[in-house]
Amino acid sequence: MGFGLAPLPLAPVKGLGLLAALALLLACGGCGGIAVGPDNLYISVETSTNYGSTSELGDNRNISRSLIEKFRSLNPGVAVHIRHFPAGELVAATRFRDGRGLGPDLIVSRVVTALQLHQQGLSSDVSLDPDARNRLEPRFQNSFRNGSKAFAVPFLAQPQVACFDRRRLREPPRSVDALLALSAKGLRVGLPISVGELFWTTTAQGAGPAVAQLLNGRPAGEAATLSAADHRALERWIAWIYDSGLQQNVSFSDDPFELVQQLERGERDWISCSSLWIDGLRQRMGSHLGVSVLPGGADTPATPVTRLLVWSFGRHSSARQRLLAERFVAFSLNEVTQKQLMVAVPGNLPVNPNVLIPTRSSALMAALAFSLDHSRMFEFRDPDAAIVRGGRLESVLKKVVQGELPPEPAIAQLLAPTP
Amino acid sequence: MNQLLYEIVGWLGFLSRPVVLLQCLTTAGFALGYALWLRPRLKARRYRVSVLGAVGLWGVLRLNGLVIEQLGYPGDLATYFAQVWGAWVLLAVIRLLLLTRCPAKQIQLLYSRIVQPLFVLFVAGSLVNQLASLRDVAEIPLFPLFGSPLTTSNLFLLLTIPYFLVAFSAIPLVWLGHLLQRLFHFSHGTRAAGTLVLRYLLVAAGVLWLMHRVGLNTSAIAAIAGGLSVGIGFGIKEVFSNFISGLWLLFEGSVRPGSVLFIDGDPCEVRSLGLRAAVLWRNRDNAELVIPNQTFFTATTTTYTGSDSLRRSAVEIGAAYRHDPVVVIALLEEVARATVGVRVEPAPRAFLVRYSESSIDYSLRFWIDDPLGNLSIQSAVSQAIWHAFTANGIEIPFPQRVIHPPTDSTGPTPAAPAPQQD
Repeated sequence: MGFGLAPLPLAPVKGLGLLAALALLLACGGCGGIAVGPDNLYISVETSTNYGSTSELGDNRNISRSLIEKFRSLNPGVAVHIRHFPAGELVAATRFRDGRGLGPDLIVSRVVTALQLHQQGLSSDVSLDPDARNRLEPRFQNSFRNGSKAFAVPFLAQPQVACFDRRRLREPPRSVDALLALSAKGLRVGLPISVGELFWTTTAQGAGPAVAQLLNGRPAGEAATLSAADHRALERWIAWIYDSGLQQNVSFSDDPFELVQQLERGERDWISCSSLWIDGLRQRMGSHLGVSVLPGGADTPATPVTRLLVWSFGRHSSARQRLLAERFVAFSLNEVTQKQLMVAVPGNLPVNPNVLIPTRSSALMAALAFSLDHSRMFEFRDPDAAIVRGGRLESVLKKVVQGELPPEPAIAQLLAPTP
Repeated sequence: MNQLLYEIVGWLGFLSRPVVLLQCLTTAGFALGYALWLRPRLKARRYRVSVLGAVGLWGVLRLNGLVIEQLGYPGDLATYFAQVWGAWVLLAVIRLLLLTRCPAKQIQLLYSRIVQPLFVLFVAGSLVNQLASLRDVAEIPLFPLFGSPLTTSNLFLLLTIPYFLVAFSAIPLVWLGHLLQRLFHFSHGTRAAGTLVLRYLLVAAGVLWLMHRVGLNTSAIAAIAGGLSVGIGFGIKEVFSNFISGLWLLFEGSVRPGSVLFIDGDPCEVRSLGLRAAVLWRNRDNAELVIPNQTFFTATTTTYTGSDSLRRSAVEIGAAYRHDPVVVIALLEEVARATVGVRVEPAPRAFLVRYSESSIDYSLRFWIDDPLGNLSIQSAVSQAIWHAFTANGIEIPFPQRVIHPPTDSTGPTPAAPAPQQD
């Protein structure tokens, strides 16, 4: 597998300044700069919460360390440095360091963050050769195309599933109606409030296309125009959210980590959770943790949004660092590494189609694979606007679940012209 | 610890990037040029010219960042270096301005103990934040301490918080002490003692908070404290005893900063009461005496500032027998009242104390406000007495001895008369 090197964009430079700069660089060992100690590779990782890296990664630190050690055994003399940045801070942190030439060589992030990095010129494109493309699931490739190049490379998939306490629930609900029925009998349910993590609930009401349309946006000043069927589906979904908020045993939280902690402490019995939390939950709950697919409609499986982790390449790497970055990404995508990551950190699914997911031997893997197969990926051309639209939708949903906004005015607000 | 070293060494790897190297080398070049060429030439000039030179370097460094950006390279690191240097120059200018209004010693202490250490920490922190994620560096476990890993941030807190607790607490507490003194009309000694006790409490509370923040195992600390108490009992009991004595003396109020004590026949002012010893100033020879707190705790202490700061002084004088004691006593009391530094109330009193061989001896007793000014006021009173006696024709007799040789001729030959002695 190989990646074509994307050249560093050079602004037009003139005169004596350029000469002086070039002379200085040449005097210091040419474009390779000064070789100081071992080769160093800097990787920035976007975490999914604002609690720092410890809460989310837990023992995953050791796993990433072992991954780095294996890479170093193949590339002796390479030091890999990981920096963690909370979701929402990675772009600003990268811009801050990029302006100093201290940006990362590689960035692991969600797709929307990779898009933001790309659009703000904080990451550089990479060429994928046919061998590289063969190592990636075809459905993940098109989203990152930028002409003949790609602005990001898929790394791992983290689908959304249901996590529950086996002591309180033997058989997980198959539909959202069954979920509410169980909650009426005393099952304490925890649901996230963010649109991405609540999207699976649209399946049962058939509101997925309508919500997707709201997220994809419309020209400023225009009201959303939904088909009559989509409008009715949206009404049903908002009404379902409103009813859920009225349930005594259903609670919503805008912090997924809080839901996970509540499940751990026994304050919740069933939550909707991203697979990235499974490893930590299993360590703390042991065999009491149950994982299943999310409930859908009466005869339709839920369509969740899968969290896809991708690699982006930094802009100011030296030639040697860029080469190492490409080697590292290639290493992370090979069959053995992808399989090891899947086995060592339950909840991470490979993007390499040649890795077999053991769905028959593991109920957990079966649930994850099922969720991934039925998941949806959003393709945002304008990630910043998508974040704003998502925030607006979430703020309406918050008011609905808190009983401040009945369904009718909530729908009116969702369909109102954007500023 | 290995992981931290791994990270720090890894930061050097950024120098392999031409864009970083360009910023660092140009900045280093300008800084070296300033340090080796310009600064020595400005050293002999006036201080303001030196400051102008430093401001010039800031301008050049800022320009360097702009030029690098104009060339199409990232230049924020060069700008950052300019900002750091600019902040340093700004602090120097502020210091110059403060020196025109405040005592130089206080400004020196403020800068050396607080401003400069804070500046270094700020620069170090901001630099680390650019080279890595400050949160990640803070979370690096270094080594186990009482069963839990000590992280970089906790080690940093353990090293810096106690220092800043001691250095910082003085300023607000001194202000608070002055405020309370104005409100409740404390004496200076009470204010100083209260400030010191509050400072100890603040430092102790800060240390307790720090231990909680760092997450030290309290059971382990209790066990170690138990072990240490044996060590304290045998090894450093004197230090501990002095510390407790100092606290006790502060609460008791017998020895406080500002008190005047009688040490080896000399009045001395207590300058400070430290953890181990008190520092006293002796007026006679401007010496500072460092006396362990325990000394005051176990020995008798004579103080002039216990219930008040008045001191009763006295001058002994003799007048010839032919003068009426009533006149002499009246004159002495009048002289004392007229001397600067002698209190009018309680009124000066003179006494006839004895009939000596060649004079009637009087004692003039008077009160003064400043216990340390006794000698100078005594001298002033004595001089005034001499002038008053001269003006009133009162003789201060000196002893005379008349030796009569024996009249018996069979006796031994008398020796030569010995010189008269008192």
